[in-house]
Amino acid sequence: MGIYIILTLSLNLEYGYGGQPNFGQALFYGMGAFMTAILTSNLLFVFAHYPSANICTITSLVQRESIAASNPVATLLAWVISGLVSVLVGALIGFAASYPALRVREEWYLAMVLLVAAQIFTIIFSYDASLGCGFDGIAGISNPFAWLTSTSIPILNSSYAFPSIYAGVIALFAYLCYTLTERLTSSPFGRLLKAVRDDWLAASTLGKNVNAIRAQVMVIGSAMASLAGWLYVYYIGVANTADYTSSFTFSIWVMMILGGYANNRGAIIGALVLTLINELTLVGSTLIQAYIPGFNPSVVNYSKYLLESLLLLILLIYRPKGLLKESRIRTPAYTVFKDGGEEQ
Amino acid sequence: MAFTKFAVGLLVIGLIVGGIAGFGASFALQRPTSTKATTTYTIGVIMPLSGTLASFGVSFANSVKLAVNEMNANLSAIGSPIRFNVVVADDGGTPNGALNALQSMYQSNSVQIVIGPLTSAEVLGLRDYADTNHIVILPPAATATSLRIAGDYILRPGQPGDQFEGSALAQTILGFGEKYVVYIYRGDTSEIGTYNITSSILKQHGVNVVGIEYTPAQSDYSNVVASASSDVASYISSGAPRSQIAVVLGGYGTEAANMFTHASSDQYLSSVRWFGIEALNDNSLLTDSQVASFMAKVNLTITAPQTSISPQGINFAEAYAAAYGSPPEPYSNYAYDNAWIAMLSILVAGTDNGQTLIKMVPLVADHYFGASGTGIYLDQYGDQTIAYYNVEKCVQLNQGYNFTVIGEYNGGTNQLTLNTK
Amino acid sequence: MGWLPGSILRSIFESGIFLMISIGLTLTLSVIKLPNFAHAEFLTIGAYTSLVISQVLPNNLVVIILASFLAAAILALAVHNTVFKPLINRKSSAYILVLASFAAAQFIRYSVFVAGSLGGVLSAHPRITVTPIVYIAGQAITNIYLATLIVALSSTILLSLFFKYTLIGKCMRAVSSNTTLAQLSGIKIENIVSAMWILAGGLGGVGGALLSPYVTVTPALGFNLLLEIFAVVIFGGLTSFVGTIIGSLIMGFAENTFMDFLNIYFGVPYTYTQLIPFSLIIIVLLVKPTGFGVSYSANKALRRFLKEN
Repeated sequence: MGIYIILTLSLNLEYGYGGQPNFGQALFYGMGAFMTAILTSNLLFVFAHYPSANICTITSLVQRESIAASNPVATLLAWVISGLVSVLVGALIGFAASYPALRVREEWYLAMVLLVAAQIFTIIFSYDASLGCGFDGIAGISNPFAWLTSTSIPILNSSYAFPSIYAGVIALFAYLCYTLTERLTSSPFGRLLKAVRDDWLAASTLGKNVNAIRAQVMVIGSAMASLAGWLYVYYIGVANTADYTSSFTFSIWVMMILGGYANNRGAIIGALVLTLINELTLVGSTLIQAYIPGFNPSVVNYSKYLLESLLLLILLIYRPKGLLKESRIRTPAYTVFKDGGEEQ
Repeated sequence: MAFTKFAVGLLVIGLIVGGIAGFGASFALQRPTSTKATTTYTIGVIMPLSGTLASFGVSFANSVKLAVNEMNANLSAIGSPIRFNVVVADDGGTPNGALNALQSMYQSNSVQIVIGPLTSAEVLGLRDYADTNHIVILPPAATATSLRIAGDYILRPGQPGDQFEGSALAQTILGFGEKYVVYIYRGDTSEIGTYNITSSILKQHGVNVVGIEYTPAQSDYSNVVASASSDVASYISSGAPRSQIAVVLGGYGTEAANMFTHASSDQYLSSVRWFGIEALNDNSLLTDSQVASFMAKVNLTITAPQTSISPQGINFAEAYAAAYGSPPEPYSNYAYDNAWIAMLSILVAGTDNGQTLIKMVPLVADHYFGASGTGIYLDQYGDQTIAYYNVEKCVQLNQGYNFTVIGEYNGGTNQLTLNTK
Repeated sequence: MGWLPGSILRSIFESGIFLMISIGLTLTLSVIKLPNFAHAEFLTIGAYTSLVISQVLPNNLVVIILASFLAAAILALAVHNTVFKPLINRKSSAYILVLASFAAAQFIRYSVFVAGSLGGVLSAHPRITVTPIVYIAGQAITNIYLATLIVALSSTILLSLFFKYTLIGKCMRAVSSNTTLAQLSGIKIENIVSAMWILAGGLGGVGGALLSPYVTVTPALGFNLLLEIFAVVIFGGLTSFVGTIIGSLIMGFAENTFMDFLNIYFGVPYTYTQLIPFSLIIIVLLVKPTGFGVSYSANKALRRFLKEN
């Protein structure tokens, strides 16, 4: 949930404010996830003084899980370091991706380039077993707070405590990302972004370095997507390419368009609504099956995708700005004069 | 002003959510009236109902429903107050989808035992959540060795693991005296695993093996087939007799159909014997005259866990065809058996509590014999260890094509018996 | 080097298939400049039509091709009228159109999923027999390969002639190079665009039908080919028919002869086949976004005409 919010916020920053259509969101998200999984698996062994081993084997998986369940220092260290590195890597890839963004001519070429790059990522990580353990992916990345169960602290050592704590951590990161994007977009940088988005020629004639600004947006956006990938791997416990496909990117786009473009609160609402729809179609289908025996569940399950695409089409046609309109900058220039030149 | 817009936005969302909730509620209100004494236990099914493996997922889900319907009919006949209920959820074939499906099942129906998911990748996605919340997972066909983990909530009383399938296939190929093998296999965990095991056994016996891995879910495999063809051609040109050259196909479904279609117009590939895995005994391949005539022409020989000798297996196939109008996909019998094991375990335990069931399922499974046609014995990893295979050959019958048994393989003794070639 | 002649022949036939499935998208791009991601779904519809028709009339290629043209053309018109027309009228940005075509594609795909699941045909094979006609260098030339090559080449040539010599074709070119001017000179844009959709959708449908005897028909059939279709069009420079022929040849050779070469001499497994066209897409878009074809713009034609006279 929080992960979707982060992803939507990052896409919103890139497209809504920066005008960069990132159809390769899954690439940055997946890269963050795989970086995390690879680093964690190796770092855990280093910190717990195990001999290094092939991270794909079952033995190493079981060892990883036992370290995570018993050794809080190693686990948390690996968690933090892998997070920092994957955000850094995300930022680097974002910077690399901004290079074509500045070069391509037609508007949708960038979309195409990133879409294809994401596909290449999937193919390489699925078939090259030495990189990401192939089709099964890298499994056995336990919740960073799983060691709580082996402690003697009451309440915290129950099997419900550590998932809740981690959910809280994700929510905290989502909040931080929201504050960050909100700050960014309310600052002069946000106004600059909109200027570049709406008319880059005009912005560049005013002496702004359009390319640098576009690159900065991509860097921040993809770092955020990688952050989400990092959080996600520790949540699901496995990094697998099947989770980072173009249909996933499409869902994030629906969330962003749904909530309203260039509106951070809208992005959050979009993520909430779409997750809710997914959840409700799943629950709805189980309920329907419970009360109408013999009902074909496939039809309800497909309805999720139908609903998703229908919703997007209706929005694009009837309300292209999303549920919430583009938010006004909360620090307009005139307030400076109104309040007698108060310092920001 | 901004606030009103925000409020309007919220209202719209509220309407959407309310609409969907109402949709669900309207169904909820139509609940059939039941006597108060009835106890209902819910069996979950998580399968890919969309995506490339959808036809398998649908067939597996149907098989579970069939088992539950049969159980309920029997329970009602003896006047038992217990009923079983199935909920099916789609995971789209992804780990993330599998986790979401399990979460919503657990939260909305507090499901404690689940049949599924299909592939080992999906199983790995929901593994942590299942362990934490004590939900028993019974994947019918995820045979990868990567799931051989002791002490978790995943039990595999279904299909024997890849290690058995690999040695059955290798022994069969050796039994036919093949010396040069071209092995085409699907790029997924299970088929890669089977290939690794088979080829290492074959190489130990001095057989030349060329492996060709292919990408799943592509539309066309002409280059894969052409590559196999040129490998066979080079064996022939190096003086190997055609009777010692074999092609093995570790793939199935739509992909296999495509490759057979291409191979049927290839002069080298249609002149040597073909081997394959159980999943090639597939009705959609056998009813396609082009594909099936090729399969019979090259004497396609497969190894399949013994099912035909079990009357339960025959009953299952007939009941499935009667209920859904088409025969079940391969491996569906394992889903059917897993459902029975799950229900019997709940009946014996008198509860569907996951922590009880994890102890009860191995007990029941070890004393169960069903549609899959073999006894079951679970080892310390919760995996099936009994494996008897039939060696079957594709032949043309009066009407259409089918597989006939020409020998058998015992996984316990590693012995192959061939009645005919 | 024994593999080479067979491999080259196969590349050429595969190119025919690539040409057939992507020529419709070239048309869409050249007339209304829309990167239509729903184009792949026309293939799915065509393949399903072929599946249904072949149950009644097995092996009747002519009827199957006509029927799938019709079915996909109707779908294309429907998509145009419900989705793209309102968006284009509002002058939405290219990204919005891309997104809308993605959404339309997903909607169509899952509608097919629902229908297929209810009808029990989530994966099926049409009753069309593939028979080898002659063997050249060990490579079988089958009836389907020949039919695809003939249909693909003839429809591309007819399409170019249609563009050059017929009134509607000239109007399409006019709309393509300057919509406002075309409107000013009394061309009914609406009719022209509708005609374009019928052709584009129909050709996609025929592509799907010709694909169906080899591949098994599933609701995701088209979607799996989406990026390859775009690769062909991008290699061809997006709007040129000659370019699309060149693009499909590049694709055919890249995925067959070049891949065979890599496999035989460098041991690259076939699972990486798709990486070749995908990396090419990125390189082409970055280095030479005009592709390898000659763009058929009215301006250029006019200039050439003036120069020659």
